[in-house]
Amino acid sequence: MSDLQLQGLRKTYGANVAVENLSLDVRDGEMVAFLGPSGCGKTTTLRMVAGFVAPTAGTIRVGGADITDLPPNRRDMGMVFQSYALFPHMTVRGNVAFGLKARHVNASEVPPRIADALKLVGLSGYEERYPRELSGGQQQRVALARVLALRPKLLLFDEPLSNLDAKLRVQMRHEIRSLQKEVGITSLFVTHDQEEAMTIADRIVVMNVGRIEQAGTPDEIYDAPRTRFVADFIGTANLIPGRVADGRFRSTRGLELPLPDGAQASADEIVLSLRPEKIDMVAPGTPESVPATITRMTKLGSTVEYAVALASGDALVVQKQNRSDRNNHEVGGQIGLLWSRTDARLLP
Amino acid sequence: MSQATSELAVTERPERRDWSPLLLAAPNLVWLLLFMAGALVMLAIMSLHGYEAGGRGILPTWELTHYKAFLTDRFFLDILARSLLMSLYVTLWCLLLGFPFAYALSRLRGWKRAVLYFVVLAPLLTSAVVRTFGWMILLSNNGFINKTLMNIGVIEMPIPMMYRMTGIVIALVQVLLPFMILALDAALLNIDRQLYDAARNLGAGASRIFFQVTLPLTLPGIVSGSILVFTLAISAFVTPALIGGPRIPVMATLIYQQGIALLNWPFGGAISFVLLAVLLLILGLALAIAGRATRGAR
Amino acid sequence: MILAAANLLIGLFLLAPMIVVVATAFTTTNYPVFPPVGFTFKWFHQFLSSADFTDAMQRSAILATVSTLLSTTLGTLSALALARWRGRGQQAVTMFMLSPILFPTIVLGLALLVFYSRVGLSGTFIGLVIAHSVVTTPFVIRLVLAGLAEFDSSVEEAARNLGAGWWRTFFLVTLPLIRPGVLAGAIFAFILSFDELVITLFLAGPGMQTLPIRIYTFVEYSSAPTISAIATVLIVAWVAIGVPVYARFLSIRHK
Repeated sequence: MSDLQLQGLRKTYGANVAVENLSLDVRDGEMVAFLGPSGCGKTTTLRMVAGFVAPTAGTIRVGGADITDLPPNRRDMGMVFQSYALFPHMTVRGNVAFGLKARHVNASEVPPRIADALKLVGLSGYEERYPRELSGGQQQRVALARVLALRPKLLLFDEPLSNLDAKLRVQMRHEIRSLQKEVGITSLFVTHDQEEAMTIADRIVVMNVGRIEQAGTPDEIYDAPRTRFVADFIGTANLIPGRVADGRFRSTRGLELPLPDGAQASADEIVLSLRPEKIDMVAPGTPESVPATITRMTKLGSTVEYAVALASGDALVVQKQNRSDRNNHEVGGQIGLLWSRTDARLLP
Repeated sequence: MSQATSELAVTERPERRDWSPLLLAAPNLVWLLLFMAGALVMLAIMSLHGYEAGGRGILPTWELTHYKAFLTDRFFLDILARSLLMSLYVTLWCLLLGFPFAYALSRLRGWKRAVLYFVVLAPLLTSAVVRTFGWMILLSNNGFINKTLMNIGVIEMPIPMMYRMTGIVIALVQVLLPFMILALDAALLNIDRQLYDAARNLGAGASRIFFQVTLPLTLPGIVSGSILVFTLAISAFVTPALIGGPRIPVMATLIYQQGIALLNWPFGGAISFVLLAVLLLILGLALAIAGRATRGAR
Repeated sequence: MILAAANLLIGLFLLAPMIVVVATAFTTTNYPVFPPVGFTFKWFHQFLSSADFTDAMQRSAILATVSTLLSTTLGTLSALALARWRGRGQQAVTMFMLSPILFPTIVLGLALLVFYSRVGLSGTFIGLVIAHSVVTTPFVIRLVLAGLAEFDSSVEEAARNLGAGWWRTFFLVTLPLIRPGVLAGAIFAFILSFDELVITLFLAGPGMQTLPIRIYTFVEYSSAPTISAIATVLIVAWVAIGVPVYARFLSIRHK
């Protein structure tokens, strides 16, 4: 069993708190992405799990065993680095064999394990090449093969795709995803790219200034953000500050809007969050719709973005698909805005 | 903020320090403390003992006579002054000759740079004795330089350079010039090329670019190169000894004479520490001035 | 271009004494003249058949070898330490370890002379080895540190993550990757030690006359093309060894 339990992890550098009271349970075989802006503590957390950074407080358990005090070479984990960190003076074979030899795997078992690992990443036949002879994507795969050959309890990815160009990134993303599913090893993946996180992970942990803002499936994170930060960091969100009273939401500028489903009865400082693509633009005066004026229209290729102004002065962004039968709006035109109550959320 | 699991009380862990750098450095540290610092301390102590020439030798007394002897005797102060002046000349000439060469070096790439680099490196790989020997041949009154100058009619009588400060300075400049060039080259390479383009785009001519962009930004290299050259010049032994001879003593040859030839270790020690003190003073001054000057360049 | 002409002269100035020395090694006259007169190899024969000089050369070689082994080990360990050192103290320790470069060798020579007389190392081979190592180790440190600047430490982390302990990581990963710097340092240390004069002059006992000391004492009072011949051999040897190693090492750095 290689589930991972992080309890109360904390890391401070002098007065600077990099990670604060982080607790997380990762199930066996799960791929969890740590997502957040730079400095949020995601890499520090990963390095604590790997053993390169000693936590100031807290414990790390793998399969129930407390490994917090183990040095990195005794943790049975495999880490893929941002710079791949391949040994330049060894061939591909040498690189993949390194961990096997270091862990004293039986000599007769080494060649088949190398062959299997290279087959998994699609690099059979590359054994005698040196890292400098390989492309970025190929180097990435050798780094993967190197850790997969060890069949570790945990796989750790430290922004491994940042050095690749866009197309390759997308391709590698899917490959890593299917590989991980195939071998079923519990994995942690650090990234600052939300699309990457959404594609690759079973669960996303959104971090900000050392704390977990929200942990959930990609759907939950996107459609049910629990904080302003998460709503804003993932995709775009319309955020309207206001308060709740007498079953109605009133924005700070005086706009009254229907309450989202399941919202609390009253709150003093709250934000209404609404995704741009969830808003429909209908004829003005349609029942239940909110009157608005189009102030700007930007064509972004596959989508069209409308900036609309409400009577109260609040501004919203609406996103529509770029289809010719729907494009009959103009700047200055009056429209009504309609959205489902389940699509809006109130956030603290 | 959401936690995805149970909360447990957590205690602080002791901060584990990484001792590996200290362990790795320990052998050399101990070595240096013993054989450099320790030896110097012994020399300092020795310089405070008395000495009786031709008599009992080193006395187990404590006295400042040697320091007084040096600092109050015109003869010795002259030697100090001469050494300082010599080092100053050498440093200035190294700057003058080193800058154009380093400038060219820093702008070249590929094999051209390699050739120039070789010209700078080769002298460093030959010992000071060998280089000084070569200069002795060149600088003598009927050596190559004088003969050529006379042949082309620039002078009528040979210019005496051997056994003169002139010869010492010329030879020392050649010995130390590579150090200056390397320091300047490093500094010049550090300047962002785009600054030149920006300056030209703004309308600056070559000379303005040189004086207002290149020179100020090279200042750290000028300072470090000058400190290195000055220090090596003032402690130079072989070149002044062979080219200057016994009639032009400098600090290094004086220390050798007192310490080895005359076996007057206490006095030799005192002269050594006067030299060190002067060096530290000049270093401190140079760094202070440099600090103020480079603050603007940053 | 005035600059090019000036640099040509400066370049000649830099090479002048070496050109002179090599040229006068072949002169047929009995003392070194430049330009040389005639061409002969007899001074090289003189040098090689003079036990005085060849013995001295042998002594220098042995001394340089032993002190290089010492200084390369000390220097490499120190450079690794300094590259990893986080926190205060790093700057101070670095300056301390590099200080012998700036330190007047003449003072160090006298200090060690006094020190050795107290601990019984006067005029010994070991005493010389120690002194040479003190002077050459900082250069090894500089060169290895320069090589380390290119070193991606995540390879060491990768090695540990894959299961390697300290020793395996050091010998199989770190050492092979810093080898160019270590080699450059070792060669420089050897050359410096072989050519070292001042400290050796202070500390060498009667049986330890090295080649530089022989050359120096000879040149103090006389002048003969034999010296040119010896010097030529040295110049050719150092340049032949030093330049390729440095070219490779420096080209790795100055991309």
